[in-house]
Amino acid sequence: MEPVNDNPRQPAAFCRACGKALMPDEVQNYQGTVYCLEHMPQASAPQQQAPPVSDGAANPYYQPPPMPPQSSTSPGWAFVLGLIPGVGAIYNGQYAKGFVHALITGVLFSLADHGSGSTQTLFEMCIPVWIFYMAFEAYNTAKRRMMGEHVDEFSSIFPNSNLNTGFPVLPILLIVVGVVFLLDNLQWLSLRALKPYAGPVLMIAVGVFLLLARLKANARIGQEAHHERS
Amino acid sequence: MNGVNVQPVSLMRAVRGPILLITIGTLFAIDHVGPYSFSTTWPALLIVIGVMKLMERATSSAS
Repeated sequence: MEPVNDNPRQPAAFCRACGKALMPDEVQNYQGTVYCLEHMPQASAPQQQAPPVSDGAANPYYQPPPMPPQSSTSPGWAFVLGLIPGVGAIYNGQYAKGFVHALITGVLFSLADHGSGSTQTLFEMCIPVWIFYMAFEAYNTAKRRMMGEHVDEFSSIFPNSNLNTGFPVLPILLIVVGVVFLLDNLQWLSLRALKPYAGPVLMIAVGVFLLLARLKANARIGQEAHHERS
Repeated sequence: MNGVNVQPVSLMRAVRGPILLITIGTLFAIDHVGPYSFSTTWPALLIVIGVMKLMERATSSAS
């Protein structure tokens, strides 16, 4: 066996089928998977993706361009199948998401069945919202796949990438809601007694949030203007 | 080798699913043997999700 380090150039990828190390100019991309020349599946579409990397050795983490449009995906069908818990995501090839959707649906139904008083109504209201969310999510994902755009594994409706920016509203909201409902369920705190305050507190919270958002946007515009002037 | 998958953000994202499954499993176990039913303990899921999101942020801003 010859030593691998004979070649001064580093391999850019490995063939999915045979495991052979591939130089950057030998890499064949087929639907986002790397193959060597021999194991390249006979593509129905002409080889148009993967433009030759001019200096592949300089960029070993070369990202292949997005897949070509897949015309076999129908957003309409995705919507119809999305009404069945999990099936819309499975139609889009996102099996983990389908499983999670089915799981959440099951938890919602079980909570609506066994909930106590006020929470039961809450979950009964949530079920149709959740089912239509799944349908629209599947529709959006299918549309993106049809256009050949990147599909987010988490959700195609809510962006998942805005980490690290601004105040963590969603996590803190989740924690607060979780703690309040937990205390209510353990009967250390009565939501029923707090009900009269819910409306005003909600309005104040939304108002403060909007105010902060406006102020932040204002500050940013001011900064940009300052940049342009200086 | 290359350190693509060792970044804390992707690590947090990778453990998200397993931790959720473990939490759900624990809650169902408590439902069966413990004093609390699942209809009582489900908000713990929300708390876990929120804490994981916060940790994701913390690790991504630290790096």
